[in-house]
Amino acid sequence: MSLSYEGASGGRIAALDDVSLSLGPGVIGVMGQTGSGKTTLLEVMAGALPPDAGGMTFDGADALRGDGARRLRAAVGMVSQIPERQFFESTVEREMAFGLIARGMDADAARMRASEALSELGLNLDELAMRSPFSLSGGQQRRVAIASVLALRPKLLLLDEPTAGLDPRSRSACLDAVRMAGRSGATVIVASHDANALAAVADRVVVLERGCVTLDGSARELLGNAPLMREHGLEPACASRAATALRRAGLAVPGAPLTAEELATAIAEGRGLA
Amino acid sequence: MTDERIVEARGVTHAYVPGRPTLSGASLDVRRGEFVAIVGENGSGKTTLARHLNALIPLQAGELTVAGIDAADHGRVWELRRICGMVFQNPENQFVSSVVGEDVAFGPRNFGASEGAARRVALEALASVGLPGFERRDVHELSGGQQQRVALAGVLASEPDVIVLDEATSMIDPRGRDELVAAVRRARVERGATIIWITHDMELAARADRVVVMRAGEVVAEGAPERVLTDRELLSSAGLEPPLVVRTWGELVRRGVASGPAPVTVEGLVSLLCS
Repeated sequence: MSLSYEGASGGRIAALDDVSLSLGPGVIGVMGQTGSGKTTLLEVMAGALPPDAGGMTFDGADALRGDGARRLRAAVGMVSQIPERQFFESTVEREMAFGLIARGMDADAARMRASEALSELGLNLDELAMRSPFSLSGGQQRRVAIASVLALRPKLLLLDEPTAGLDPRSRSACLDAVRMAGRSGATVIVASHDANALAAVADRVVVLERGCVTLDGSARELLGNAPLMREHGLEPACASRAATALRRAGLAVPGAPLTAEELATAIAEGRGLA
Repeated sequence: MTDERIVEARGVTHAYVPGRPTLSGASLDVRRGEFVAIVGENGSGKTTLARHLNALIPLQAGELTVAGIDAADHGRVWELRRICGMVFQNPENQFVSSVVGEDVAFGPRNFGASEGAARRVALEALASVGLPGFERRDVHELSGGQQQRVALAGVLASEPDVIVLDEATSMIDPRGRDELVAAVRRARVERGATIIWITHDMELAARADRVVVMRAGEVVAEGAPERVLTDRELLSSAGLEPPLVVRTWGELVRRGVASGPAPVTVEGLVSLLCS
């Protein structure tokens, strides 16, 4: 797929340049520098932006036109980088129920599903029901936006920087929900700069640079390789960065640790104390 | 850093909804030239306190001065905003022009700079955040991370004494974040600017002079990163967790591989394990 837009100088700027990906169930992280095309890729996959060239299939059908496009729209859920952009209802309860009722669910069932989804993200529907989504804190808005999409149980879930601005507890709840969605058989695509978040949930990581896919591999293979990540202008997982710094200082740190526990194990092994 | 207190907040209380205070008597002193990180879970009152520093919301109770200017003095609001610049989490909230160069030049022009001078400092500020040549771009065409850097350039162009950053790197890639942090650091080193950085990034907080912890609208702890960020009980009670380096050290201590106080940065970990 390729997609370009007209720049301020009148020339064409490639947002996506000959991107080819085949995605199955699980959590796929999309990384890349600011302006590399991550958000555009998500918008194309959501059916919100048609590519200039190339094609896209979803469940084997052409997803850009006809029945295939309708099936994609029915199966996709997207949370944008700035969550308040997607709010339009006057209360959290109505915001949460809108998509569910539009898909034929009755009001009681919709309320129950909304309550479950909010609870997964550490929020309480009873407390927030009558609040305007626009009056919530940034972290609450992000979680309501994610919950409203998770409640629809989409087969294709697209999340743009879902952990930005979340405190550790909310972030952890958000990542748990993402992991569960991936395990339930959905294809979950998470665009993020947060290597530690992706290390916690992603099975696979794709790196975009200037609209092109430049790296595609397992989360450990990429996020655990600090020099490779840095070479591509990306932040490795903190554990990987620490492991690299320790190796440079002369300590043997085996493997590609991604968490504090894995790093501690690798350090102990390196010192022959495991 | 000097001993002069540039920010003095005493018992600041604020409720957006009557009877449900977001800030409940928060008190905070910041010295001129200091780098203070404010941490706390969502809804703990960090952003509301920041809005008071910039006089964006009226003071309901308590006292707050910035460089001696009373935040409750409506006649000096513009003077206070000249002294204290703020970068929001969502940069779109603070753009006044759709053209990058005009937006960045707005502050200096508004504070009395000539057209030529405003344009010159705007170009310098854009270069300092790693966005040279962006002055004719439409802000709405930019990515979230680029918008955050334009917002910082707009604040830097006015050369405020105090820079308040509210989760200002949440959407930026590492290179952009490094450039933004470097630009803030330059403002501190070259002009003695005071930095108040609201963040969930404990690694960033570990680099501050002082870490302030907020919970339920109050400042509940403050101190050096080495003390605050290694206090698991305190952090847990505020809905926070220590940096990865501290958690790793805790594991090593538990396994008998290490002992002593935990480091808070990767450099500190390397120094302790490899010295």
